[in-house]
Amino acid sequence: MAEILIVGNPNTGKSTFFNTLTKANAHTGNFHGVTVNFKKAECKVLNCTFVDLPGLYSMSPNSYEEEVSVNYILSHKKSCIVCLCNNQTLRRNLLLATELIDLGREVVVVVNEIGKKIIVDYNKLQEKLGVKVISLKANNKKTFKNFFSFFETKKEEKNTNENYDKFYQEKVLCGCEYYRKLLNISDKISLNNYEYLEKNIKEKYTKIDEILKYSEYKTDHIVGKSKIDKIILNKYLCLPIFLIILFVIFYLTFFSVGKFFSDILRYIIQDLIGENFVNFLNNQNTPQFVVSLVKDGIFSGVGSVVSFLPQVVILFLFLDILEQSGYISRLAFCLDDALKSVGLSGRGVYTLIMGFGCSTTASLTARNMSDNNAKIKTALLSPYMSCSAKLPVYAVIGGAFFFS
Amino acid sequence: MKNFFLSDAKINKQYTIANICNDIDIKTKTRLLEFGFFCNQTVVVRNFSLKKGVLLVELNNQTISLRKKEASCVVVYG
Repeated sequence: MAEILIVGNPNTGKSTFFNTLTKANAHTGNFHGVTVNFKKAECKVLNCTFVDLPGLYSMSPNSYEEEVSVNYILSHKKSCIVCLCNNQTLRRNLLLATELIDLGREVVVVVNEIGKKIIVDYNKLQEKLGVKVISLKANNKKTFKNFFSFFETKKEEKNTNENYDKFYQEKVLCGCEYYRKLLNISDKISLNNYEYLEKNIKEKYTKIDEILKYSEYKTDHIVGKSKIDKIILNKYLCLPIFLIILFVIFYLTFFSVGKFFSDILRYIIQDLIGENFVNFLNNQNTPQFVVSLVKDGIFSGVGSVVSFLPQVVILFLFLDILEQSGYISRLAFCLDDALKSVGLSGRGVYTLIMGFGCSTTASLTARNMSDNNAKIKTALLSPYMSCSAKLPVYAVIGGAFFFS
Repeated sequence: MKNFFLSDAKINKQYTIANICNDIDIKTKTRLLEFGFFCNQTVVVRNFSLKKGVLLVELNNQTISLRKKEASCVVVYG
């Protein structure tokens, strides 16, 4: 089955695009660095496999998850590449697209239309880039008509003119350590690398600016700025706002809404079903140890654990709302200073907050940090967050030691 | 006009990039260039938090998050 890679800058909607195509439920979030490893799933409409890769700005990797993407792209030479761009940051996104096109790979540029409509002539953009350009909304399958019809009629295995030697030479001259290690080159970095690097990227951007000018690309608003950012990103208000939000979430989860549903579930399991079943067993002259096992072991024990389910569900719901709204990325920005004083990074706030849901998956998200020390410290700290699996344990131990 | 680092810039004031320091690691230099920090580009700092170590910067109508380490390598005037 043919394999198609989904690449692009961080936070352009790759995982959302992947989920819409494959219905795979890949984890998405309004936060750079959500995808830290590749995911594969089949698309039944096109009868092929899509691979969602972590975001990267160019083919010069700067962190672990970018190396994952570059490794995959370079090792799967026959795979078609869908380069997902954001219509609001098209200039920066096209740097990666043009690198892949110059490499000689089979590329399809997909422009994800997010937010305010941007003026651009996609036919002219397609003409200048020399590859197919499709615009759609990653979270709306109704806009995928052109995408599906293109891939259904596309011929198998385009004869690409791959320029890997020239590509590797260029990257080594730019001083990229990843390619030096890949090719076992041990030259020291010299000033020439900086000059060549600057010249190389300037040439690429000059070419991109010409392409965008020809395509009549116009954007006159600031990406990511909203009135609410003035409050949330305020250096005096951000921490109190965060504490209030956390208090509201925990209050609703453990003392209000969550407790209400938890009590109902406990009543159904222990009182309604448990009591009646125990009475039935007693009427049948069942041995007492069996009755005790059923009453105190199964219904009381398992019932206590299962009754935490509503609270876990509500907690995950709130964590998802925080992620999708973009609040966690703003929080990371605000808490970067405070976390740096203890040797962590602002990005660690995502890992620590996710630890309230599940510590295991939270520690995996620490991989998106570029600083190795901060990455290890955050991953080691995440198990200390009180996750949803630990709640029943606290209840059982607390009940055993502190209540008669 | 005096030259100084982007990390010392005032909020909401427009500056012009003079150059990027050469005595930085190649990864930081590559990342800054990939974001489009070239000479004579105009840049505006939208959210100034030097102590937090992160800046929200507007470059070519696109918002970029810069670390203090990266912003301290960009020389501007204006």
